[in-house]
Amino acid sequence: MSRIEEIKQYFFVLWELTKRELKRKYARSFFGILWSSIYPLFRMILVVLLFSTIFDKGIDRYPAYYFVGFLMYEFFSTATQTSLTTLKDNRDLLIKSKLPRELLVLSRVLIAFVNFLLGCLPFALVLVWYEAEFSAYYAYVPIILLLFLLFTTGVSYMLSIWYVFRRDAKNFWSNFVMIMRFFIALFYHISWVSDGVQWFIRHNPIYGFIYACRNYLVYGNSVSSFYWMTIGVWTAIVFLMGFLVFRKYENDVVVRL
Amino acid sequence: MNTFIQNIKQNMFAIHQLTERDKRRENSATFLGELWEILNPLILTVVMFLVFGNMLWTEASDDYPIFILTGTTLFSYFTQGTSACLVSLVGNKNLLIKSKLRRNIYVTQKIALVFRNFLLSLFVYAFLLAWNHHTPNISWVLVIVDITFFSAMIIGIGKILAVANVFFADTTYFYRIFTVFLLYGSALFFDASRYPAIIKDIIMINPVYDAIYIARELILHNQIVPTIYWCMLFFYAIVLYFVGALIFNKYSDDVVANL
Repeated sequence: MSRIEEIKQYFFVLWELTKRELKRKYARSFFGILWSSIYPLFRMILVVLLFSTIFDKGIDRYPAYYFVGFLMYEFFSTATQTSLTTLKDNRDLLIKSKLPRELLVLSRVLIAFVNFLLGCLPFALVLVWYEAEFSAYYAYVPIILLLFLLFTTGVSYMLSIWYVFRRDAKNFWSNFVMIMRFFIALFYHISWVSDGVQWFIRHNPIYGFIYACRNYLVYGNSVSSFYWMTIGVWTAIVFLMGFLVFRKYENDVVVRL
Repeated sequence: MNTFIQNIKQNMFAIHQLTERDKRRENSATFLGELWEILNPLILTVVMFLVFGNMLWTEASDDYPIFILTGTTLFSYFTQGTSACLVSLVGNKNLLIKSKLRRNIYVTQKIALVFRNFLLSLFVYAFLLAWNHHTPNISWVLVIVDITFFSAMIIGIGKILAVANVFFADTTYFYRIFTVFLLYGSALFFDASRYPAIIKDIIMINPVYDAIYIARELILHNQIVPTIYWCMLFFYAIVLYFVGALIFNKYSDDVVANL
């Protein structure tokens, strides 16, 4: 079979898997996939009603500020938490079929990404409403998102393997993600916390991604090379590690399921 | 009388069996998993303290951790209890069809497990109180009243949710959004007076905030809040409990047809 054929088939399977997951997820739901847009919309109402009065002190265009972080964090959190259990959830498929195993992880990440994109629809309105600075910097955003996608995939690879070996991984990770929510300067400004916490937040890759997108999308500012470095190095390391870990253990996994 | 006791015994047995099954099925019942659930309010407190200590605490005393922990403990109890009820019927499809267990058992069993975790998390709470040199006061007895009525509220809401989720699957999604609103509408880590007056008024009638506020004032300041707050608590608890029971009894027989 030619190389192109192979790649075509690969993506065909990925798409079918993703469709199946989506159908399953919203099987009994009335609104179905619309929830991906409704949920962010409600969050926005919350932000405008409650948050802005407590946390808004001096942050320019606060709802837009918040929303970039919220959407990206939500993507990371959903993608990693659903990927974590994917090998176990698809046990039958793993044992009985010969499809590349990483597809199961990729399909979960992809669903989260589709969710993320749907959440961006209401976000576009926010950007217009709060008069974000449209600039040439917008061209950088797809690059950041691509890196973010790779980073998330790397983490997801590792988590999916980890869960097979340790069932506690699920609890550990959900708590970790919950804690992380407070250390990415999501709804407050980084300068409001003490210096130690600030240092920690600055070196957090997820904050880096959010920070870069925020500056490009909302404020039309450039982003210092420090953040580009942080993002680049983290993505390279995490993706490579995830890939290698998955390669190494994907065969042991079937025995343990 | 004898059959009554027999009944209770049988119910307890069923609850026990269901709980054991949940434990086997959910990995949250691994030792570490359960520990996580118990420590959850404490973890939240530490994080919020680190992040918001600078930002939101304006009182002179260093009671901020207790202030947060009171809120997070009660709030976790509420969300864990109600969201467990949410799936209590939907998640037991097979048993509902095949067995003749009383429907109430499914809800009671979920609440019982969450209540147990709540009690265990109180150890953490007691530890923090001792650490901050709070000596027990006679008025703390009233906290038990507060929690009793709060629990009645949780059972009522849980029953409504359990039934609603059978007939309308999107309940889960709605509820997820609702809890986020509730989190910020319960003023867990800052004083409600930080909100503008109109929002503060809305928060005042939030039953979860009410229960947290009562407990907080009792424990932090040994102060009994004005009667109006107590009346509100009783009102919500009684109404929600009975409405929940009514809805549950009315519709739980139709559940099987809709699963």
